[in-house]
Amino acid sequence: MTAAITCQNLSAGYLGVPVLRDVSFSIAAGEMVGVLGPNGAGKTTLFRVLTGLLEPRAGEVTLFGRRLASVSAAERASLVGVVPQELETPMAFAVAEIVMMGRTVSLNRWRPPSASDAQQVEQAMREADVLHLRDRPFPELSGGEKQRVLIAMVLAQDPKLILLDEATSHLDLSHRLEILELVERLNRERGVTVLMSSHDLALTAEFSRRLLLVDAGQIAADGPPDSVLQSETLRTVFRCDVRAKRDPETGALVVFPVRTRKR
Amino acid sequence: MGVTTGSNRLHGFLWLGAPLLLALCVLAGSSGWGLPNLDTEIGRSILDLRLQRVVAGFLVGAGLSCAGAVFQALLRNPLAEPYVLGVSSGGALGAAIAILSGLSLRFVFAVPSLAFVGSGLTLILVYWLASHGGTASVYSLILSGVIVSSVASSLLMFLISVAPVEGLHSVIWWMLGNLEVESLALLLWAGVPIAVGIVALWLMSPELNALTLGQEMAHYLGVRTRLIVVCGLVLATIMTAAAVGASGLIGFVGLVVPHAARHLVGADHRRLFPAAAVGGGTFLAVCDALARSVIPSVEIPVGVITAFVGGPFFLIILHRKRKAGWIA
Repeated sequence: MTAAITCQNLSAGYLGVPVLRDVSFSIAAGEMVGVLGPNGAGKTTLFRVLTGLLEPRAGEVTLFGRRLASVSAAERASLVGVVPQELETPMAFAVAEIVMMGRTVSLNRWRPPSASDAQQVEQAMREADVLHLRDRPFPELSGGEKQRVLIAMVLAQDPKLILLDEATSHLDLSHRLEILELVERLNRERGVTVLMSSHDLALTAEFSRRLLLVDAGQIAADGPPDSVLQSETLRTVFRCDVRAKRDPETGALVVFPVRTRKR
Repeated sequence: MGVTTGSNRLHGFLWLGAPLLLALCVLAGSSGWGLPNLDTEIGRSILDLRLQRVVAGFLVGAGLSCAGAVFQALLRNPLAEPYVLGVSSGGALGAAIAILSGLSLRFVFAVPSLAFVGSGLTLILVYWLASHGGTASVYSLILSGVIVSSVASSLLMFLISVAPVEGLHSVIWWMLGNLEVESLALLLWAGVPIAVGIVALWLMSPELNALTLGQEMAHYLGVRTRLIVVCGLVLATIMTAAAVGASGLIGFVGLVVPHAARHLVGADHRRLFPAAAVGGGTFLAVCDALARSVIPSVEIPVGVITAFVGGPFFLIILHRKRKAGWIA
């Protein structure tokens, strides 16, 4: 099986401040992997490198066998797409227009969007269940609706790899579940590779078969949720008292911090 | 694709009303309303002059509106307008130098050329300052625009303060904005870059749409953001400089017409540019017609009219359709 992502001896940072230090890992096509770690650990920097937004200082990234440094912007968009934490647009684009932006690189400058572009946009909106919102101004939507529209946009873009950059952190419990179930379905049915960063350890574990734990610019643990979410590991990485347990009723992993001072 | 953000009735009004209003503009003049007597030499040249002014007004208005739309999209700011990065101050400085040095009396093209050079140098300086040590972010662009703009303005003030009286009058009159274009060549000189610029920007619509989501998101969507930002800024500056060089500092059009156009046709640049061009061009031509006919034999600077007439007009639109187009 081809690797969706390979990173070899990757180092990256900003203006003299190193963030990622000598990171190597690979992710197979079709995997759904969670990326966890404390603030400032390097999750966002990793995503910025994987999307070509930040050039690595050393090392190399390949996506589906192609060296990221040598692919064109348009080809990059066909390999990797991003669902951000939130999207702000100051202008009142209609939902269908936002989703159409997923097709940016394939649009013909001289003509209105082609029938196949329109069809792909409609299909994407149907899959993300936002078709009924198509004419609504995007800024008026609720947080959950907005994230579904962003997923429709990335579906219209149709990349082989989708990065979810804390894409559910603004949402309440039921909407988090809704978005992750949607993403899981896309992973299964479309075979899209998914890499998602989050601070919701338990829910990410629930939807991932593999977790990457990032700490201080390096990979502190890599493996199935059971092996990564160990109380001792989490304690050293998050620098506080953390307990990881299995819920006896559902069998799901539960992770919670314990306060240091008693009431 | 169905779009509900635009009102069809108003939309139709724009496309049908614009030619009608432009025709009416030809009838207005400081020599009185109505078509001049075309049997006489004077009548024909009066008609020529009026046609030239209507065309100049349309081109300048279209250029400023579309440039404003681009600045608003690239800077993601509803308050952005063609003059926000100091392009106008730089241009005004160039024009003032041309007028006060007496160059403008010897060469017809001195004022627009130096205005153009001033605008261009300003943009280069602003972009260089903003992108120092990385890519130019929206905030650094606006900030360095404000700084360069105020430096250029203070130089202009200095020139005005030491200028002789007769030069002073020309500079101030120029700064107030005036669509009296001295020759057809000058009109072409401004019109060609504006027309080419509008078409080129229209072709960039998909990328400009994506850039309103921010440079990062546009990057993820496959847009070569730095290239498009630079191209958009350069094109908008060229159009602004051409407009400023031809007619001085006409305010208000580039700020408000893009907003009104978004209310009519929605935020998609593919539809926004044509609407802004036709709407802004017609608006400025009408304002100019008022400027030269409201008070018989006295010409009011058109910049006064744009804000005075346009302000309340656009307030009504904004009040009626606050939700559509721009949510702030």
